[in-house]
Amino acid sequence: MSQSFSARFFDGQSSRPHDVVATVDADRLQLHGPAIDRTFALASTRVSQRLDHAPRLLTFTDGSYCEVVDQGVLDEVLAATGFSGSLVGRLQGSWRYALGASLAAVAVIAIGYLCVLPWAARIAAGQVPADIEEKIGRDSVEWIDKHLFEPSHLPETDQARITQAFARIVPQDRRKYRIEFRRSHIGPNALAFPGGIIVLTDELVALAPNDDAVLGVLAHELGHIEHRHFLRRLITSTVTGAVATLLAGDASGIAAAIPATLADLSYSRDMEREADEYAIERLHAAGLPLAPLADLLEKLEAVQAERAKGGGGRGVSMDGYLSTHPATEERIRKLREGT
Amino acid sequence: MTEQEGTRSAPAAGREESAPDEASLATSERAASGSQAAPPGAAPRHLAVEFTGTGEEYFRIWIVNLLLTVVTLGIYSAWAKVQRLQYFYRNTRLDGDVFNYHGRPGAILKGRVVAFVLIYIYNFAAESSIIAGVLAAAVLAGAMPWLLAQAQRFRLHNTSYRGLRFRFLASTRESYAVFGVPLVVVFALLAVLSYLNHESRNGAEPGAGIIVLAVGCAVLLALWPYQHFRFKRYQHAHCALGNTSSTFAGRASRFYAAYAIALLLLFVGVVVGIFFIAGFSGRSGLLATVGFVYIYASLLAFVQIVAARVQNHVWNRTRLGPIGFASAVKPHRLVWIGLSNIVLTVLTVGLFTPFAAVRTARYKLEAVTVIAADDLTNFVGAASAEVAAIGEGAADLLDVDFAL
Repeated sequence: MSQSFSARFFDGQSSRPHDVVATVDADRLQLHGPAIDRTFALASTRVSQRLDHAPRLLTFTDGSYCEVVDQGVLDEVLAATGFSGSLVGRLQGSWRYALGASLAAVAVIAIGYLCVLPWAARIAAGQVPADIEEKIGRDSVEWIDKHLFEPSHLPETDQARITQAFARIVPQDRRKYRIEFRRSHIGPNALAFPGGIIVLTDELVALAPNDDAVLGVLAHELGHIEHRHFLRRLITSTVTGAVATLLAGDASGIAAAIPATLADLSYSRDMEREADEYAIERLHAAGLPLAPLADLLEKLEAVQAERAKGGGGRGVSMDGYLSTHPATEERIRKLREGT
Repeated sequence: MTEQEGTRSAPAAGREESAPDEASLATSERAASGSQAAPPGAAPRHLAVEFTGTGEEYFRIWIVNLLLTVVTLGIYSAWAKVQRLQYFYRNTRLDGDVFNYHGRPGAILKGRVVAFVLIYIYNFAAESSIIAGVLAAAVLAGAMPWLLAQAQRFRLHNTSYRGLRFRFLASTRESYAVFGVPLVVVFALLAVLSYLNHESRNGAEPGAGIIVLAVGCAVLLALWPYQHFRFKRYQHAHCALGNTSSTFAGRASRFYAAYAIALLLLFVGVVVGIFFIAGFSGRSGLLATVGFVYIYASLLAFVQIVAARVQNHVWNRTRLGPIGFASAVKPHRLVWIGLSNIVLTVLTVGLFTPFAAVRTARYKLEAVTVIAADDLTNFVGAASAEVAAIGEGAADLLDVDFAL
């Protein structure tokens, strides 16, 4: 059984089109036209993807090809020869499949974001050797010393007292933990770095009602170090940035940044929760109260509200402890409940 | 059937340039068996480029591309690129026939992997020491013109019309001449910058260094339109379809005019934006944001206006043998398309992207007309070897765009 369709043939040597009638016969494709009489093997003929408005191309091994405008007849002919097209072509060809693919894409991204990426970041951060962690920590402290902080004005006696109390809550493991006291350009703050370094600002110590509150903050920072949040955040933010860029396409760099930042913030809220849980654990183990930390967080919120009002409605202040450690109602409540 | 003599020049020397005529002309051509040569002395035909793609259809291709690229952690992106270019090329119709893209995904993937490795090596070198970083940067910068030339060659070699491949004929030396000077200038400025950075860390007064930097940047910006002209000339003067070569008769002064007009409008936009920001930042965050948005939109408008004028001038002055081109992009229309595309894309969380791409391509392509004395059937092929894709991969990864 053979079927025919009309096509335009190009021999690849010149741009002259030849109108031909193509006939499929068993395993061969024959082209007949004025000055054209060719036969090609079906098996080695490449069929281009089916597009709605563009001609379909049948390309032969010597580089010549046919343009077929009448897709209907060609479809029948191809079906008769058992040609089915590529999987991707079929996925793209029907709305049902394409929408299915969209949903699948959304599902993959959602699962990746919710489960796979955090898990992978946790594993990857755990693989980083201790000396590299320490180097990252040292380099980061160097950087903030250059840009954010200056040497502390806290009296030696206070520093010694806090450091001694700190020893009560420090876990006994291979890390060498230490507190670096600094005076801050960005308000009361405490930061944790890989390798066991915690930077504590004079302003935060001044704001704290007592040493127990300071210890609460330090315990929280220990939680960040224990769970390697710095590295995990580095990994997740790199990946979310890359994926957001991939998805935003050519639209705009800014359009990519928004979802990336939102994803980042969501991850950081999870990390804050983890650090809080660790802090509660360590404070319990040392027999220390949790309330002072909750009091301190409330105080920090009040201070930030004051600054926002006083600063002429500049909106959310980007300084201070709360920009890096969002103090939600939930956090304070959990601390007071001690769960 | 009359025969045309000799080798007439080839049609448009572009990638997506091709204009299908009105349907009637195409069908009447088909009715006649084979092609008819226009009688000598006939008025040149104006063949409009037609883009037959639709946003709906491209959306399906785009979404599947996206899914597979994400699932394969980016490896599928080479196949996705082939899908995309084939879609756009095969929906670009000139005189009844379409263009085609022949790039093979394997080659593109290899090119991208190599580019990725190069960037990784550079990052690694930059981390280890300043000297290594500078050396790596110099090597990359040195290779860049060659990579860009390769990208051009790959792209054109894999573009065909009516069975004939395009070619890119610029020599490596010409590539270095075009890209070399600005690269050296940029490199020098970066060196000055890092020297200043180093000095400021040691507490030295930056004074003279800043002046050098400022002057250098000003010179770079002043020469930018000229460099753009050189780049377009490089692209358009060295193409061929089969063995018919292209010529380019553009002028740098027109580039300067295009930039000047756009710059003036940008200046006005920025001033208005700053007025909004300065005036309202204390009292109303919303109006201050309007200021920022206005400045951002002005920048986008600037880019589109320059793009529109450059496209028009460049194509009006390009010929492929006796075939000429006319481009009639309206700057304000392109600005509107660009801005509305971004707004819609953001509103739809990116889903509008394929529609935006089709919309832009359609407008830019259908603004072009091919002016042909004959029927574009007399181009003769020339042998040309396969071109390695490394340049295309590098150009991709480093986000270099050779668009129309």
